[in-house]
Formats: sequence, C-alpha cells, structure tokens
Amino acid sequence: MERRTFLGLLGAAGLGAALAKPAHAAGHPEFKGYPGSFGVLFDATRCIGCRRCEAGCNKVNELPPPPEPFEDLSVLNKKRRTHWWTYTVVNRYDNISGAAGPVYKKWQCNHCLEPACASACFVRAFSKTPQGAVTWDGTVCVGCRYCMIACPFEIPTFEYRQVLTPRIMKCTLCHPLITSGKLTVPGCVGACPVEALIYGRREDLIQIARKRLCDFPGRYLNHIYGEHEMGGTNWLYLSGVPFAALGMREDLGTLPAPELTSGALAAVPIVAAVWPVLLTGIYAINKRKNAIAQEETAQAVAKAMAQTQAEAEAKLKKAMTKAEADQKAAIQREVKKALEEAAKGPGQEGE
Amino acid sequence: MGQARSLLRGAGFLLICAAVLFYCIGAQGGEDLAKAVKTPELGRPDLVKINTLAAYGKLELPPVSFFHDKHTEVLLKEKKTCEACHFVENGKLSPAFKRHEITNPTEIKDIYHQYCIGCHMETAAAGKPSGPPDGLCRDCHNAEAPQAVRIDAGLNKVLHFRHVDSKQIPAVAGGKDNCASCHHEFDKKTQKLVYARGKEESCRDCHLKKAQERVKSLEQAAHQQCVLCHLNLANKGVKDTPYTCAGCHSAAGQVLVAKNDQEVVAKLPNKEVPRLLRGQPDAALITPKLEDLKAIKAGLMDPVAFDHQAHEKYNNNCRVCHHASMEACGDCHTLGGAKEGGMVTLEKAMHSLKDQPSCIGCHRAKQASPNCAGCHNHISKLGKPEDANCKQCHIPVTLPGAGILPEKLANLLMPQKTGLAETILKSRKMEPGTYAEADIPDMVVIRELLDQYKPVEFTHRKQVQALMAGMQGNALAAYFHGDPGTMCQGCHHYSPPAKNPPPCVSCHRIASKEVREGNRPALLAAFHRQCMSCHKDMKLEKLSATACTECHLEKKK
Amino acid sequence: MNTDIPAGKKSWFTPFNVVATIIILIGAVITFLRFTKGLGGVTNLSDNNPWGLWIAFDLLCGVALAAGGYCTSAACYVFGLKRYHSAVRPAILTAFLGYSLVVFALSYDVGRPWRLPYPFFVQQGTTSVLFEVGLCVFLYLITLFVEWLPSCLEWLGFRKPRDLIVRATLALTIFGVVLSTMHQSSLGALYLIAPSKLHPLWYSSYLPLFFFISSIAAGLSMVIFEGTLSHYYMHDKMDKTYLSEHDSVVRGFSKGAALVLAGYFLLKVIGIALDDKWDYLLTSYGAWFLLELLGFVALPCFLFAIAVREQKLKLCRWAAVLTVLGIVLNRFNVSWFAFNWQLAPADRYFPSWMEIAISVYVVTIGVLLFRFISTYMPIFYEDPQYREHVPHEGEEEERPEFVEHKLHRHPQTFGH
Repeated sequence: MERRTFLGLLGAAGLGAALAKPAHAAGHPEFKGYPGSFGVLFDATRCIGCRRCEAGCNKVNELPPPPEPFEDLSVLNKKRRTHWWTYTVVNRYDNISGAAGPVYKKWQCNHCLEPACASACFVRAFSKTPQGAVTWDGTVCVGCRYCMIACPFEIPTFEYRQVLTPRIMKCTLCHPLITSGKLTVPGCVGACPVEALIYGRREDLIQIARKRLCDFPGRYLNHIYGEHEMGGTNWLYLSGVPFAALGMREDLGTLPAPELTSGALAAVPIVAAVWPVLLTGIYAINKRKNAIAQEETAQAVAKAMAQTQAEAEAKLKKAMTKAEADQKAAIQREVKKALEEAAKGPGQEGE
Repeated sequence: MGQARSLLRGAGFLLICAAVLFYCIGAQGGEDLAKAVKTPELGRPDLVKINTLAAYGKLELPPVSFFHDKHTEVLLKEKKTCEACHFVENGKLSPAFKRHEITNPTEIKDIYHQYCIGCHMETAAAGKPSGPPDGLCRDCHNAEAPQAVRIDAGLNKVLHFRHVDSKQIPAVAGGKDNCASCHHEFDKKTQKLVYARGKEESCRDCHLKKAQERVKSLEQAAHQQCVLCHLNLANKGVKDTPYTCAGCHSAAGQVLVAKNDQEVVAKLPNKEVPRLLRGQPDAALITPKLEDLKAIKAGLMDPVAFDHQAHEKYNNNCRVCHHASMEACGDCHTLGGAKEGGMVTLEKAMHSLKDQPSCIGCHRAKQASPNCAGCHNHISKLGKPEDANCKQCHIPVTLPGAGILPEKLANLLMPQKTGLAETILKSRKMEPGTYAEADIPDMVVIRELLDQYKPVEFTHRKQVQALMAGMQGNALAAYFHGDPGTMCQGCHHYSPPAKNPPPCVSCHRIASKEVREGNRPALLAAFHRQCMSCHKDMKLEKLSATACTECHLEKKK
Repeated sequence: MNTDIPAGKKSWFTPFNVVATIIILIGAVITFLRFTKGLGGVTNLSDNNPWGLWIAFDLLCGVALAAGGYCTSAACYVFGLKRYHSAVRPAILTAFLGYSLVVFALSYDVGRPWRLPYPFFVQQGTTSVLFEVGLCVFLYLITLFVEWLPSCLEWLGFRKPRDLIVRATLALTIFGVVLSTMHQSSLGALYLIAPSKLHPLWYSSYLPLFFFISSIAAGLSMVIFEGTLSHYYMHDKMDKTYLSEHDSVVRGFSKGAALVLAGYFLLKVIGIALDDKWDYLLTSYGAWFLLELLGFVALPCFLFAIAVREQKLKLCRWAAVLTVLGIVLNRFNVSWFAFNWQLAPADRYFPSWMEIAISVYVVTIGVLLFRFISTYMPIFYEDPQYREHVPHEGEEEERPEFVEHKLHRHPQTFGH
C-alpha cells in the first residue's frame, strides 16, 4: 500500500470516530418516565394476604387454574415466585422485628421506566409503552431467554414445556385489556378488597405515597420502593418494615439497566472503525519490512556475487597471465632447445 | 526438565488442595467465612472493663474484663467483706481498687497486678479454682469479652415506698421519717452535704452519668449509698436486699424486685402506694412565668388546670414529667425558650408529640393501647389541631374584678392558683358520653355492593357499648370523650359530631374500579379497612381479615 | 487402540467409531425428545435459571475455544509470521466447525430456533448486547466459511473461485479479527446487565475485556492442543511442510500465550483492586476464584514461559491443556457457578443427563466432521497444484511429499 493511501485511511478513521455522537446506545440519564404514564401503588401495611389479586389476574388474563384454589391460604407458608401460569404471587413474611404480625407482599413485573428486558432483547420484543406498561410481543420472540437473565427482579417466566410456541409470560399491567376498554384498572387492582393496590398516574401515586408517609410517619418506612430503584419503576411499594425483610432487593442501585451495557456497546463502532485501520497498518508495515529485508538480502547477494565474480576474474586473469608467461617461457625453452638441437645437428651430419 | 516437572507436581498438589478446600468450604452451603456472624454471647451485668490507665495515654493492652460478681461470690463464701478490695474513706467505700488517691500510672498498674494476680496465685496454691495466673496477660486483658448488659436499676414509686416504709432505715434523729438518710443537697455556704426538707430531688438531678467536679457520678453515688447498706442488711439476715451486680442490673434481678413490689402493693389498703408528699399541689394552674409576661402585651392562651394528684397515680415515678428537677415546668420552659430549658419553649414542652414528658406526647402514647388503637391508629397525628381540642384543656378563668385576662393570672400566688385549678377540675365531667340507647341503632344492615356475599349484619349498638366499656376507669378517655358525639367520630369521621351522622356512601363512592383522587378509598375498601384495621389494632385475633364469612355469609350460587 | 494395521485394509469398527455412533444415536433420540417435549422435557432449566449447560459450554466455551482461527490467521497474514502458515487451515477448520456447532447447539437451546434469523432480518434489537453477539457470529461464520472454502474447492477442483477467495485472504482475515474482537468481548458484556446476579469477584465492568483477552489465550492454546491431537490421529495426512513447521508453531504460540496470560492475570487483579473486592477473596467463592486465577491462568503462564525457554515442547502441550481447561472453567464460572449465587442452594441449577449428552453429541459431531474434512481436503497438506504464491521464509520451493509412515501409533502421547 502506498503511504499516501495509508495516511488517508487513518485520517478517515479518526474523523469517523470524532464525529460519533456520545454513545448512549440504550439508557438516557435524564429519562423520568413518559409523563402521564400509569402505575400501581402497593401498600404493604394494608395487604391482608387474601390472594384475591392473584385470582383477579388469573381471571382477566384467562390463565389456567392453579393446583391449589386461591382461597387456600396455606400456600403462603412457602415462598413462591412467578411462573408461566401465574403473573403475580403474594408471599407472607413472618417474625419481622418491628411488625405486629405477618406482612404480605404482592410481587409481579415492576414495569421499569427503563426496563432491563427491553434493553436485553435482541429482537426488540419488549416495549415500554407510553401508558406505562412493559409489553411483550410474541410475534418476534425467539425464546433466547436473555430477558430472564437481565431482569433484576427475576420476573419473566418461560413456557419450557411448549415445543412450538413457548412464550415469555409476565404481568402486562393489563395493557391490552385497558387500552381496548375492557377494564379500567388492572385485574389485581380491581380485585383487592382493601385497596392495598391503587392504580393511577405515576406522578399522582408518588404524591399519594408521600402524603401517607407524612400523615402516618410511625406506620411506614420513609421510602417509596420503585421511585428510583433501577432508574425508577411504574410499580411502587410502601412498607412498614424494611423492604429487605420482604424479600425485595435493596442493593440494586438507581442506575437503569441499559446504562450497564451502553458503555460496552458504544465500543463496538470504535472497534469496527479502528481495527481495520490498525491491522492494515500492521500488515503494511510488516510487508514493507519484509520487502526491505528482501531488498537488502538481494543487495547483499548481488554484492557478494559481484565480489566473488571480481575475485574469480582476478584469479583467472592471474592464471591466464601466468599461463601465458609459462607458455612463453615454455616456447622459449623449446626454441632454445630446438636451436641448440639445430646447432648440434648439422655438425653431426657434415662429412 | 526438573524445574518444570517439580512445577507440575506442585501444580497437581495445589489443585488437589484447592479441590478439597472448595469441597469443604462449599459444603457449608457457600457461606462466607469472612462474613460469618458470630452470635453474640449474652452479656453479663457484672462485667466491668478496667481501663483506668486510659486516662494517662494509649493503652498497651485491651482493658481488663473483670467479672465483679464472680469475685464477690468467692469472697463472701470466705466471709470476707468489700474491704478485702475496697478501702473505706470517710465511712464510705472507695470505688477504687486497693488505693486512695494515686495518680501515678505505673503505681496504679503495679497495684492491680500485685493484688489481682497475687490473689489468683494464692488461691491456686491453696488448690481452689482461680483466675488467670501470671504470664497469661490476655486472659484478663481480653478484647473479645462480650459487652456488659446492664439493665438500668432505678427507684420507682413502689420501691421508693418500700425504703420509706422500711424499719431497717431508721428515722434520722429528731424526725419521724428517714428521708435524710438518702436525700441531701450541697450547701455552698458550709460546703457540706445537708438535708433540706421539702426540697428532695431525684438522685439523677445532681449525680449525672459522668462524675463532675466534687459530684460523684450516678454509678458511684448509687453504689456507695445502696450497696453497702444492702450488704450489711443481708449479713444480718434481712431478705431481698440485693448487693451483687446481677441482683439489680440483671433481668432476673429486676423480675425479683418487681415481684416483691407487687407483693408489697397487694398488702396495702387501696392496693396503692401512699402519696409521696413533698409539698406538691393537688392541682396546678399552668401559666407562663411572671417574668416572661413583662414583654408580652396581650393575647395569651387560657391557662390549663392540671390535676397533679391524679397524674401522680398514672406514672410510676416523678421523673416521667419532672425529667430534670422537681421544679414547675414553666420555670425552665419559658414562653420564648430559655437556656435552662434547653431552649424548649413552654408550648413545645406541653404539646410535643414525640416526647413522654409532654402532655400531648404522653396522651398520644396512651392512645396506642389496644382499647384505644382501633380508632386512634388511623387518625392522622399531624393534622391541624381543631379549636375544640384546645378548649378541652385551655379553660378561660374568670377573676373577680379582673375579667378573664390570662395575664393577670400569672400574678397570683400559688395557693390562689391552686384554688382556681381545683375549682375548674371539680366542675369537670369525667364520664364518657354517648347518645341515649334508643338513639343508637342496634343492628345496621349493610346492603351496598352485594356481589359474592350476603349483606353484613353489623351489631352496631353492641360495638358502641363495648367501646364505652373499654373506657371505664380511664380518666383520660372519659374526659376527652365527654361529648356524646366524640366517640362516634372514630368511625363516623370527617363530619361534625351528630346524632345522625351521614352514611358512608356520601363520601366513599361505590365504584371501586375507577382511578381515584387522594387517599380516600372507595366504599368497598372503606368498609373493609375501617373494620379490619380496628380489629387488628385492638388485637381481636378471632376476627381475622381473611375470615370473610365471619362478617358476611357467602351467597349460594 | 490398534497398532500395526496393514496398509490398505481399514475397518470401520474402530472403538472410536463405535462410541461415536452410539453418542450420535443417543443425541438423535434426545433431539427428537427436545422437539416433541420442549425444553422442559429435556433440560433442568427453570425460571430462576434460564441459561444452563448449553449456553455455558456449547456457546461460551465453543466460541472462546474457536478463537484459534482468527489468532492464527492474524499471526500469519497480518503480522506476517509466515512460519505459521501451515497451522492456518487447521485452525480455520476448527473455528469454522466450532462456530457452526455453536449455531447448531443454539438451535436446541433457543425456544424457537426457526426464528434465529429474526434479529437480523425482521426486527433489530440494537440496544441488546446479544444482538451484537448474534450479528458478529453470523457474519463471522460466513467469513470462516469463505476462508475454509478454498480447501473444499481445491478438493473439488474449482480453480477460479478458489483463486478469487485466496486473493481476498487479507481482507477476510482483518474482517475476521474485527468481528472476533467484537463478539468475544460481547459475550462477556452479556453479563454486564446482571450485576445483582453475578458474584462480585467475576462481575466487573471489564468483563468484555477479560473475555476478549482470554479468548486469545484460548485460541493459541487450542491450536497447540488440536495440533497435538491431530498429530496423533491424523499424522499420515500431514505433509513435510506442516510437520517441519509444527514445532515452531508450538513454540511461537506458547510464547504468545505466556504473554497474553500474564496480561490477563494482571487485568484480573486490576479488576479486583479497582472495586476493592479483596475481602471477597476470603470466602469460599474467593477460594474458587483464586483456584481459577492461580491454577489456571498464572500456572500455565509460568509453564509456557519455562517450556519456551527450555525448549520443552511436551510442557508446552500440557500448559495448553491447562489453559483450555482454565478458559472452560472461567466461562462456567461466569455463566453458571458464580451466576445466581444469591439464590438458595435448593434453587441452583445442575444440568440433566440429556443436556450433558447433547453437549457431548455436539462435540462428537465436530470431531467427526473435522476428521472427515481433514482426511479428504487439503488441511494438513498443501495440494501441489495450488501452491501458495507467498514464499516460505528462507525455504526453497520443494515438492511436498508425504513422509511414508507405517500406520503405527507413537508410544508417547504428547511427545514428538
């Protein structure tokens, strides 16, 4: 490659890299959620663990009936998680210091403002709707289950027993049902007999939650879970006991999930731009080095050959001269001999 | 080759070690070794950390963990007294170990070592179990000994009475009571401790946690005053006079003291401890201090008539309210706040919601009891106070010739104030009020929202009567619920007290499937939370929130 | 194993073939089960553990160990180290088969394998690291296929296309290195999104860098390892050039691996230091981490270094095995052992026997294909008709000859 061409490529690469916008492949540090998006506020001090929310969800989503009926509260003796047949579970937590009795927590998709599942999905099967719900599109899902790895709350579930149409199953905030007008509030919210769940705009729910914290400071822990966790969620929680005692992780931080990978993804175009230049450069340098080495070798060989040639010629010349001289000397000798012979010869022949 | 081979061998060995290590550690279930939480040993009350030399510079070794009761047990068995270790100064035991005032750290160290270790060696030589001998420094200087757990041991009404009444504490010469044997104050003129009748205070008012100049710390004072006396009595065979650390400061010791207290009280007439007389008024008219009023032209709150005698019965010692000294509240807590009162104004001192010594604070704390909590737990404490509430306590007082100016009241002398207060208190109605039985519906049938269940048949009158019964004998409840409509407000809230309060549906919408404003629940949740929260706070466990059919039967499909 | 087989008579019923056939049959049965009973009927995957052995081994290890392709071709064509030329084709073949089998195994693991092209052709999830992995693997598989094609074309005798591709070697190599860098590091970046689930000793914002650097070490070691195995089993297919260059390949790659492992070790230590994770080293997971770092990174690094300096080729080969095991251990740690470490022991994952069987089956297919291709196509030898125009360093042109060997196995395994 010519030097000119190489330098030109280097310049182009540099320009390309410089023009690149700051890399925010997925997360935006300032996103506070779609204004007017809806969410749910769950109040753990109100929940009585009756499981009617589970029944309501099961009914409106037409999920299969569970092995134990919803009225059976003995299932609360064990901790459960979501599965493909249940979008939400209620768990009971006993013997928490500071609590008069058992505390119940309802768990389901938290509909994050910047969902990890949506960031992780390589076919964009998840979308964060402006209404607040995080929905899953079954028409493109490949079933790779990276969303299940990504979700910090361990929510999405997979129909492992389905062969041709295994789906990712998770709470939808009843988005299709609400947008089509069949419901005005999600099934679980409508079923709760004590309004431990209320549905409304996220901004309003936060105000309501703050008012409760203000009015009854002795009743609640001064924290709205979901206000900032993982960048904020549309499902908010209030509790009278530490959230960790309710099996909710308090070590997730406030960084939204897409920010965790946006740095690595930002490096990709840089590699794609710089590596070819770098490698071509190395190749070119090597090639040039080899060419120079070859040239030098050829030169050295030529020089050596010339030298040998010259030496050989000198030797030959010397030998030739010597041979000539020898020959001359030999001729002289012979002539001399012949003359001597000739001089002696006629004497002998004259009588 | 040799080097590589040995490296490989080493690697193989390491691998095996690591595999075994992993298995052994992993078999613990992946528990973090470094973060393993050691269950703390239950601390002993008699653990004393001897760190005398800390006052002289950095300690070379950790403070000595010394178990006092262990040692006194042994000494007592050998019929030795406290003087085996503690010198007597001015008739009182010195808390220092085997020394009078010595300030040389080396000398102090030597004394400790000589006598502690010496005694241990002697005891061991005699063949008896003993403490650590010489050379095992860290057996005594043990950094890891558990923390001392000492329950605060003070006097309450009953225990104080037991001392007052006790024949073992003789009356001081010339008197008929034995107050002077403990109570004293420091006379600056004579520089001596003298007894001043009518000015007895709590020990803690002068003897603070840390020793001051010439004033012993509470610990030193209490031990010197109490322990030796108890020990002498115990030696004479008198029972229930604890002298060991555990005797007062352990949970078991406290239980024993409480038991004895109860036994004493049970034997008394009226099952009550006689009133502790220190010249306090039976009733007090709480007004701001006289000096404060010079700056104020007009506009004070009406005074509060305070039933001091009754309140003495409700608390088990004076310090609950008189938390620093027996003076009147207004002496330190002035209108604008004063240095003696920690800049806490009179208003805050009387109305602070969180602190026990404040009137409102104490009353609030009483509202948490199960009889009250059903209603009071869900009444927001931070709401704006109503005028009606203030008037319960702040009563206008009419003075002949002076009208009802509160400013004039402050000029009155104590006996006049007391008289006025007594008048106000006598005129109070101390019965909880409610409407006539005929006006209280007996059975209320709740028919709204019929869906899965039949109507609720709510035994309204019975509930009201049960709540009224719960207020019997409780003067606080009786006074503040004197008005008949007040108690109904527990359920019939956010409307003026009335014989016919509005039905719930007037404010709580029936439709519960809608987005709602604020914190006001729709009807279903209003019903459920009202009843369920009350049952839970009043600890009525039989009426569990999930036992649906206890309240409404299921409709047959 | 058979010793002296009279030339000209080969039996199909070698022990290896028998075992391989059994594995293939079992694999076929499990494949049928997988596609009739679904993932739940064959694996121990659950909602808590969505990724199991197939991702840990077939995907992560498969991609990491196939890194020899780009390393060798970069060494030869970009860095101009012509003495490694004979190692390029076997490395490319290993990589090509490796990546093909990765995609093959993915079709078992993914819920709807027929939708695997969706991310590229239907809807692109460009915020996803997995999208980037998929795209690069897809493109790289095509690249590897094209790089492997000449040996197939030579076998089939299509000169013109073969020459065309060979002329594009440099471009293909560079493209391959670019793609490899991106997807090797992105496999590590996959786990960046789950800091709450990966143990702090393995989670780091440098995960992509760790995966990339360790893939280089893996590639170099795999070339040595595969070369050693091939020497034992495919010796009769190797020409003089290959045989004479082989030792130099082992030496040179060992040197490279020693350096790369040293750098990787340092990076890992920096990763611990930067987030102050020293305390975790005192735990049981810490012991396991130290085992991985000291026993499978530091140790092979030392062994490589010593082996190169003392010219001990046997030690080089053992160090290569250790490195390969170390890479497998690292990938297993990140995706399985240290993943979901916060769950209760009862909720942790262990593969079912069928998952293990499928992984073995996939590897067996790879070995069989490798054997087939290298038997019939010019992988270990150069077809004299298609002499490479690039002259060998310092070697004269000479007619490659297969060294006549009796088919008898060498008594030593990894000696030469």
